[in-house]
Amino acid sequence: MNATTQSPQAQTIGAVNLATHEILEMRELLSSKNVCLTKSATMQALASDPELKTLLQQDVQQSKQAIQELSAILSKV
Amino acid sequence: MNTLLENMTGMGSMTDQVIANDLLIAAKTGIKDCAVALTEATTPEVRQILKKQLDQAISSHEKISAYMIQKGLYHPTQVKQQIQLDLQNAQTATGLA
Repeated sequence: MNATTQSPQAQTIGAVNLATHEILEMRELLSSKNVCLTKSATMQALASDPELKTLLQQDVQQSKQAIQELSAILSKV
Repeated sequence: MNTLLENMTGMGSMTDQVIANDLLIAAKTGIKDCAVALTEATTPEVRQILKKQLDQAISSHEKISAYMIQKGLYHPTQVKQQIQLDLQNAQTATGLA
């Protein structure tokens, strides 16, 4: 394990040695986040209550960030 | 546009409730999945990210349930009312309403 973390950003993680089951777990989460993001983005157009739209928008932003973090780690594998 | 879609789906004003319910279930599932993944992870960087995402998932679930309780779409403390609502939704979903 020779991770060189310069900042809390996931992108700066160096070559991390992930265990096989960790990789599986991460890609499982990534694909579920992908579905969630797609769904919330679509539902935003269907929702009529502005408060619900805001909740969906927040979910979209959060999912995007989560996907970036997971992708950053998985792309190093 | 919205009216058109509502007519198309045949749910009318149900749409918002269905979306909110789906969002709540997704939030619950997200918390569980994240927690399970965290218990399986050993690499510190991975654990850090998963813990952050778990905390986010928990607060997001909190917001969604608060919204639904406030709108009367969710009655976690009133079993009778909640069951009635669930049965109504079941009727709508199965097209019997």
